[in-house]
Amino acid sequence: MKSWLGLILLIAVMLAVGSFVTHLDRQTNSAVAQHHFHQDYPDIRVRNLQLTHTDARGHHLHHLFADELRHYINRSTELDNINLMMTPADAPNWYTQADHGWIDQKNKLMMLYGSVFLKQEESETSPAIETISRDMIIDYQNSLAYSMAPTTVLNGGHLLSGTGVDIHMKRPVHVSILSNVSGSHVIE
Amino acid sequence: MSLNKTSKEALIESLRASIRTPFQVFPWGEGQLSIGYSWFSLFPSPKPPSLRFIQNFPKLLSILLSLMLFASTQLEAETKLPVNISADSVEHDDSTASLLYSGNVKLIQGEISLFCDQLRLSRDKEENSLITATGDPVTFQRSGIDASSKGKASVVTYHVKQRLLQLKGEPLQFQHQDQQGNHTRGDALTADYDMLNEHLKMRGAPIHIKHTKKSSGKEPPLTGKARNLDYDFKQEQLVMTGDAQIEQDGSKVTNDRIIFDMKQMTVIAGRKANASERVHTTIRLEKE
Repeated sequence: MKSWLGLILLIAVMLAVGSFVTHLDRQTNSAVAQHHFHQDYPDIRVRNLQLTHTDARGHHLHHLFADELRHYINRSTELDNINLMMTPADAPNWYTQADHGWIDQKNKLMMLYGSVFLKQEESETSPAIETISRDMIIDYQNSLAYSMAPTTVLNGGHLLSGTGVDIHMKRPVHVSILSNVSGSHVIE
Repeated sequence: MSLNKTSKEALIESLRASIRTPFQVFPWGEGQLSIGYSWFSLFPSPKPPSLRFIQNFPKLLSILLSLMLFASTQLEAETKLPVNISADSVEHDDSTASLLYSGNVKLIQGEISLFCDQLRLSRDKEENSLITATGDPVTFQRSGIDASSKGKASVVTYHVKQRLLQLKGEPLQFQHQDQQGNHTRGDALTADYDMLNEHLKMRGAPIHIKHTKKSSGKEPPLTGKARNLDYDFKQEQLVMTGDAQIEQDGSKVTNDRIIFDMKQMTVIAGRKANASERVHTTIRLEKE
């Protein structure tokens, strides 16, 4: 009688453990599915975006144009066909064009992918600075731009090309090409 | 420089054409020019020289003007050639409106090449382009059709518009080789190389020079020293001032001003060289 009771108890324990493991497995699978859902499907989608960012006094800081914006919960924002204009108070405007890009969650960095064109308007002291590069990061809060890709910079009669670029966009503007530099200068 | 060559050839062709045409019109027609087109062949023999000169004056004037135009165009073209620079890195500074190249810097503009550690491209007070190269040492080379020059210094400043290279800082050395292979070498404290006027000005305490004439065969080189040196590459004339001394094979000339004519291989010292001191000469006698 005792052996029968022991056997029944063992079967009951095994069933309980089995059902607990199955429950855990189901829970894990559903979490993955939920995460997968968030990765693929944005919660916000905006087409023909035009966004203006100003300071407390209404001074324009950034103008952003994009064909499409996709925002993902707890993740960064994706943009297609980007046109960004930065209007620093103490320097000429900067224009950015890129095929594709991401803005991080804290809205501090913009990661531009594919072909990137960056231009600063000419000032009284300097001709326009035009930069063609790829895969660039713009820290637009600190007015910095950098890339490790092959880059070409045109500044008046000065044409510079090399690999990697570091641009300090605030006045005084600093443009550094980091390696394998070649420059052609038309002397007037 | 192939462009210059081509334009030179084109100009010569046009000159030949302009010379041929009017000559064929003249009835005394012996003025058909030979292939060499020497100046003498412009004056056909049957006419008196004065008449021939008057009749040929427009042609001569046009040739002269063409040559002047060609020379000025060539100089202008050289100064307007782009400056190509390669380096490890470059930094553009808006505050100083300058470009700073760093690491294995190589500059090429037409005939000129320059190698240095760091190079700054900026503007001088007159807003002309200025290139300042620093290195250990900075070396430069100019390889022309007629002559070549090379040198080294720790700082080289290149005034692009004026085509002026200023060298300073040890070890400063300048070498020049002409078309015939005659070689001149000098050490100094500073040197200004005016490429437009083909003139070199060296200052130092003292400047040492060594001149080797290729055609002279086994002739020993001519050495000299002075505080100042002015070398006119076109005239092939070297003017040494300030405790100047020139020496060859034991024979020595000392004066405060010595002129060395490399074409004639003559040394002028004393009053004819506009010197204030008396000439001291030591002549080495051959041992029997």
